[in-house]
Amino acid sequence: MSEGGVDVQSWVRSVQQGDEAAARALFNHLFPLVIKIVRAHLPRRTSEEDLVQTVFMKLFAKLDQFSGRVPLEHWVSRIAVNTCLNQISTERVRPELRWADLSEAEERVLQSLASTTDDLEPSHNLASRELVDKLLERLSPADRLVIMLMHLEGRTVEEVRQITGWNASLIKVRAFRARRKMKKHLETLLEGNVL
Amino acid sequence: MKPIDDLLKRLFKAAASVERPEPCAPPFALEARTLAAWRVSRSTGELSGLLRFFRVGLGLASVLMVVIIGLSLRNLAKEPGKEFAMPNVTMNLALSQ
Repeated sequence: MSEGGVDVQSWVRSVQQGDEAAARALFNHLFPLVIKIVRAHLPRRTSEEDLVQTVFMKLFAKLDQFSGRVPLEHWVSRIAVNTCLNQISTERVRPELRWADLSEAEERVLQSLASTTDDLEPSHNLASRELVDKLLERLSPADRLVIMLMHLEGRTVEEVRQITGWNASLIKVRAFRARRKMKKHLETLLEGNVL
Repeated sequence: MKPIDDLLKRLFKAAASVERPEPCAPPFALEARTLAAWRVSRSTGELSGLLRFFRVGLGLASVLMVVIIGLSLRNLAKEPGKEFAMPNVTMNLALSQ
């Protein structure tokens, strides 16, 4: 199996035999993928680097179980996602979002969204992302993950299935419920505060 | 489509357009720390493998010992008369004379 000109399979075999140079190469090859997942699903009280290290430790320990039938990236994604979810599951979901929790820019985003049916101006994008992040903090880890993958990273149900290992109907149901919760939070925010 | 559905859709669209910079190379300290932890876990793994081997060996030896003791006791119970065979013969001979 050769990915992007590198023979990942030979690295995997070498790491299984305890080759440190291969472990370093594999670490560097997979780091961008792992850091992306960790940053997207980072628990509030956990350091980013600690979580990356935990993911790689699990990955190296389970390398014997990698059959090579699926791309290594999918297998690694699943380990990283599950590690993050396990970590997040120890945290309590934050309570309801209040108007006072929003920054001025986020308030403007909401007001703009409520007052017009047009897309937001590009200058509002960053505040929109921050607002979405605040809404995501009110969801369970699994719901948060589905929304991140489908609506922020633009992944298909099939891609989410490969990353998480959940079946397609579960993903659709989770996405539907997560969106419903987000809409409820938005409606509560908008009631009495906009217009 | 309900207004709130449309609102959420537009919010997602704006939020998704934000590109977050990602480092392509890991910090050296993180790489060194992870590889060191892997090295330690490997040696711990080898040690625990050896420990597991000894534990299995000890278990097998215990089972073997129990089986042997059981067999010995069974044999003893089977032949209780042998202990008295010689005195009986001697006594019979003495009586017949």
